[in-house]
Amino acid sequence: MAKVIGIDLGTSNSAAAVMMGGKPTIIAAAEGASVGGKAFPSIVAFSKDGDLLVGEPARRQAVTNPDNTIAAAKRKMGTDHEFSVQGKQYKPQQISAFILQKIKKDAESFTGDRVEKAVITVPAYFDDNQRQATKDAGTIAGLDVVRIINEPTAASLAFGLDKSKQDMKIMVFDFGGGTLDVTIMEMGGGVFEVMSTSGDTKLGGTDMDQALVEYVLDEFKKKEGVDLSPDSTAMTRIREAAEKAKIELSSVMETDINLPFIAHDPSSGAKNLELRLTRAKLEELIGPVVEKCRPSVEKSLSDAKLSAQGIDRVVLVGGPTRIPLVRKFIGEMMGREAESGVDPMEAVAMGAAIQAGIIAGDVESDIVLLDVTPLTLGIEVLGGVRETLIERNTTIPTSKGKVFTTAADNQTSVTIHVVQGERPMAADNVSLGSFNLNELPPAPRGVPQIEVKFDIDANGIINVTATDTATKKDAKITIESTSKLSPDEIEKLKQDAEKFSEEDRKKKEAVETKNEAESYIYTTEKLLADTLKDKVSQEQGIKITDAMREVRESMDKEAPELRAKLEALQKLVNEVTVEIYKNAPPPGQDAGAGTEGQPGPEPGQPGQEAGPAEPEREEQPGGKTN
Amino acid sequence: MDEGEPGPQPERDGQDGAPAEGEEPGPQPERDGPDGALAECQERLKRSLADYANLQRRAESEISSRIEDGVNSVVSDMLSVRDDFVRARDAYSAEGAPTGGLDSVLKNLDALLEGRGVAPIEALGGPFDPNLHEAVSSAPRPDLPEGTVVEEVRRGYKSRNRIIRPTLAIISTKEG
Repeated sequence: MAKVIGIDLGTSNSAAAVMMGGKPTIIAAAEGASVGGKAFPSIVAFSKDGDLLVGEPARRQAVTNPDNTIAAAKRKMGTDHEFSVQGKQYKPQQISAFILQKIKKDAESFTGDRVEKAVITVPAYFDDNQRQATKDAGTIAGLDVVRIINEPTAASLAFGLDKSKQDMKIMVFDFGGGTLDVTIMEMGGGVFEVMSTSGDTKLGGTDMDQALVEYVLDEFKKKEGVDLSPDSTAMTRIREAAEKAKIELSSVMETDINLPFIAHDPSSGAKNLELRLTRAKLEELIGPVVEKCRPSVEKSLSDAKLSAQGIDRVVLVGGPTRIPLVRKFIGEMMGREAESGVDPMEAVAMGAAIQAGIIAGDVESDIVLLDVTPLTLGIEVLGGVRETLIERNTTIPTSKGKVFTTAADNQTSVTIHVVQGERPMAADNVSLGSFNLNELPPAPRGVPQIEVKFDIDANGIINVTATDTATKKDAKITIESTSKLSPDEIEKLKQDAEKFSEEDRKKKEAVETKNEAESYIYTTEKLLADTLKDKVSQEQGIKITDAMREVRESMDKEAPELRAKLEALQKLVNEVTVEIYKNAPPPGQDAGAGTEGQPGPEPGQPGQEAGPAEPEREEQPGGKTN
Repeated sequence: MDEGEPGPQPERDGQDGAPAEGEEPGPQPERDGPDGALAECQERLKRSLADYANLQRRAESEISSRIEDGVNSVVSDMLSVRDDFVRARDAYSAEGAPTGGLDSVLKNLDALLEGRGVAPIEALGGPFDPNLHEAVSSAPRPDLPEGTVVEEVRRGYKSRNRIIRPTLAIISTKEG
């Protein structure tokens, strides 16, 4: 059965995980681990040639191509905002879909299996529009989004809080690179209910890095009288060193920043930056940033009408929560230690994978995570007041109705304005759409009886029906808002996205074939120079050299052409090595590790797989000469 | 021994099992008793062997990828020290001091890296490629095609399958 993966679609970074052997495992990005773990930046860009770039490559070109680079598209999800890139308009769903498409591809190469279903996480405060937009993004990327879950819920699952049999109140403190989200939830009866959310969209780990960089610059200026801030090369080195020192100081009490030859003074020569940094100094520098988290924590508690003592468990999410000062700050504020044992940067993706495992039947859990309506649903009534139909945290599917009447005499039509949110005035909430019920028989106000019914199906789709109980005349709405896409639109966008996917596949194939060819030539050359030096006939040597030249000449050709040349070379080399081993003395005499490498290719697949593996293994003993 | 090849196993199962079953591998609900149990066991064995083969394959690739990550992480730290040697050489050379010793150290270091399959990324003068390079700024160069790497702020390196660190590059633009 195909795997269901869990995706943490973040504002700055995204990550994904999948259940393997009963454990959530982070899916490695195809381009390899980047700084800061296995997550990759949520950045999408189009090169000058119109090529799609996602993640690390997109970030690397952002400085010189800002107009065609999109970061933090998540902040625009569920709005009618459109990104304009190279004369083409992109909806936020499409941009997110490019990120999801990359995750899908990485997951397929990681698991070696098709990946068609996913659980995606969203912030607890996301409204229905934003959740629907996230689902649409998944569909565009070719993923069936089996469940949208809240990020703090996912984090709680990753820490195994669902395994505790008792009801509890949980605070999730999610401190990322650029945002802080504090959520208080109540877990019980199979449901995680959000009690309050709070946060700061402009507070995060980058503020700490900045404080540290400024300190290093100041110290250098004090000591050497040189301002390094205009020197971009020096600044790159300082930023990297500061980040490294910050990470080190989470586990040791002091560290040194040594940056030799950071500047050159014509009179006194080269200048070196040498600075000893203690944890106490770091804490003094980042203290003000950490202190800025206090109001958000306090607000989340007061909104949930709880004191710190009312919280049973504290979960920390995000890289900066690894810093001892942050843990201490939360510990003191809440009067208890935070949960530990899971990497706070991977917790959300891991929890999403656990939920995916529960849905796929791979994971047993006592708790059945139910979808709930994240925010209150209602309609606007006289005076612009919001009348509640469905309370937030109601498990879905659900259906609720209420009877309303007219506000004026002889009113022949009523407008039903559907809103979502927690504010008492309709205008302060998010509008999900409106519709009219017309041709009401004229009557004094207050006489007609109009039943308004909300139906939410298991997928969270809301249908609102208004029926005049006297005439049975009715009107309906399947909520249409600017951000929601019709099935036709989604299909069209999906096809657009697949086009990029096909181009990517071709490009990937070309790069992989080229890498393979380079690597094979490298090992073959070594083989000829070392192990096979005196064992290859002149004729064979010439043949192999010719074949290598042909491969080199085809390096920039299309993948199939290069592949054909490579396979011809592999065949030649294999023939030679097989012959040599046939004539070789029995194992244990002088062939050494060479024979060890041999059983591999024999039962293995013929051709490309067996070929490069063989000389590579051979190369190890030869390489020990230095 | 089975060399982790799931392919041949079913055939072998066919030979071991009762001949009649080889013909009819489909569902046989009414036939219980010893034959049915045997078929079920064979089916389970087949699945387990296939699972095992998958596990072996995954473990192998996981191990080699972890080794590569580990080596790359050490190499990456070493490259920072190499950068310092280059800076030292450049600084001494600017002051007119002899740099032969440092050149020698760098040569040894580069030979060591090359022996481990670590190669510098050739970037200068070529088109900017975000898969290999990271743009730090741009500079007006009307004489060059747009997006040419005009300066390497920090040299990039790759191992056989990974980018150890991208080249930090300054990129040309048509206008200033």
